[in-house]
Amino acid sequence: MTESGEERVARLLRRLPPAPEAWVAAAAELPRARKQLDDIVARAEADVAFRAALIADLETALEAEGYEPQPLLVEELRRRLAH
Amino acid sequence: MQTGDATSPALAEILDGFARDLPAPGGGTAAGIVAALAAALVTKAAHASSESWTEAAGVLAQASLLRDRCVRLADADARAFAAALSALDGKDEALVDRLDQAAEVPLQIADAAADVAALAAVAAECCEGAFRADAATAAVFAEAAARAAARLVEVNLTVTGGDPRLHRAQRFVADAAASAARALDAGR
Amino acid sequence: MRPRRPRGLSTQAADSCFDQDVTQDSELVARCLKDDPAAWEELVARYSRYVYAIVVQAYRFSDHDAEDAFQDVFLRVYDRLGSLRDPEAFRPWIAQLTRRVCLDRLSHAGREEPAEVVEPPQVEAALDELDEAFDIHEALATLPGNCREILDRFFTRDESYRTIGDALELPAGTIASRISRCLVKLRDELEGRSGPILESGGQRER
Repeated sequence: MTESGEERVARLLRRLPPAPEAWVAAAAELPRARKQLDDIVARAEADVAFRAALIADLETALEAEGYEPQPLLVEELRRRLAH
Repeated sequence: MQTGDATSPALAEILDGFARDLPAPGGGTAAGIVAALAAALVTKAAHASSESWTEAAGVLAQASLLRDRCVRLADADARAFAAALSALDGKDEALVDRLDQAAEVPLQIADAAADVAALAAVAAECCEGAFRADAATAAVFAEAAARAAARLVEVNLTVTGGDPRLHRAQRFVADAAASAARALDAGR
Repeated sequence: MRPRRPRGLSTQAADSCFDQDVTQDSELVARCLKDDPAAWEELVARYSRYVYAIVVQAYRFSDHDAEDAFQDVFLRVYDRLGSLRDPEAFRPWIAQLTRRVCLDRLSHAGREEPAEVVEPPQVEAALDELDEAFDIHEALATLPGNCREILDRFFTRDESYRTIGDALELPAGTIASRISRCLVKLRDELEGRSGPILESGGQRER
């Protein structure tokens, strides 16, 4: 059976459902999260005790400071603190 | 399936699955399958009318989606029902969630079946004459599926008298019934 | 500040498929490079479906892996946007970047050392279809308000006629016919852009 124009359009419309809202929201937050990360690194460079707390237990130290650690940014923070 | 293949092995196997002395697949899955079958009949009527009815292609696209949706829900019902039974047996901590899902899926089946009935009514009014009875049949089947699924919502343990899901299920049944009546009138 | 949406339209602001005055990708990219947060949100909203579809449909990642890949893609977009030579070609660029993220994850999956992986066989065909699907969504954005909403809600958000009718304050019994008419409008819009959509040669799956 051949496919009409409308059927083809409908079939292709169905190929792009929305991404989960939480994922989109997290991605939209990247610039703000990246700025937070830069601030954390700057503070860690100036404050030895803070740096030590981050290296000892990164997620706990971030949560204690009121940050919500996003996995990919935590990974990047870990990398930057290691240098 | 060709003419005369109504008792093909594949169909017999599906029917045997429902006939077994096991809780699943049960009424919810059957309702989903009946609604999907109704959607397939709408597809037939629309396809046969592609030359004479300008909206046939649009109706066909919708019937195709509704068929997929009903099949997915039929599968989901079997899984949700099995999970609920398992939770009841094992005093699962997620019991309430599992039972809730066992009510949610038939509610969605009733909603989808109401849509199939609505689409079938449109087809019964506009499709090629030779296929109007098929479209009307589709509407009647879809109404039945909506009623069956709504009943399953009612008997679910987590759904009590004031639950808004009961009202929604009843609304879907009313929608489906109105569509079926319209389709049967059109077919006369 | 985003313009207020007319009554009855979706308030799901995470999705900008509905803006009739569509900003070109090149302009969005330029604004992102000047640290415009609204432009970044718009870019994410515009391409979130595309990236999600590539990861889940073309590469068939599980939910957990798909989420990581999705975030990784936009992190790389954010970091590397300045290296995009032709801002008009943002779409193929993000597609390529997404492919690279997915292949990197496949090559690392469960291994201590990354391994060479062959791209799964279904990817190329899936990407071609998703590209066409994106064209269709772009055309959808140019349709009148109710048509955009109705088609998107039914075909991509899995909403029923009753749900759509309630949301848009339209009788549920009229939704099916409206969908058919809106599909015709969308088809006409696409044909206006690129010539007749195939009525033969494209095969139905059943």
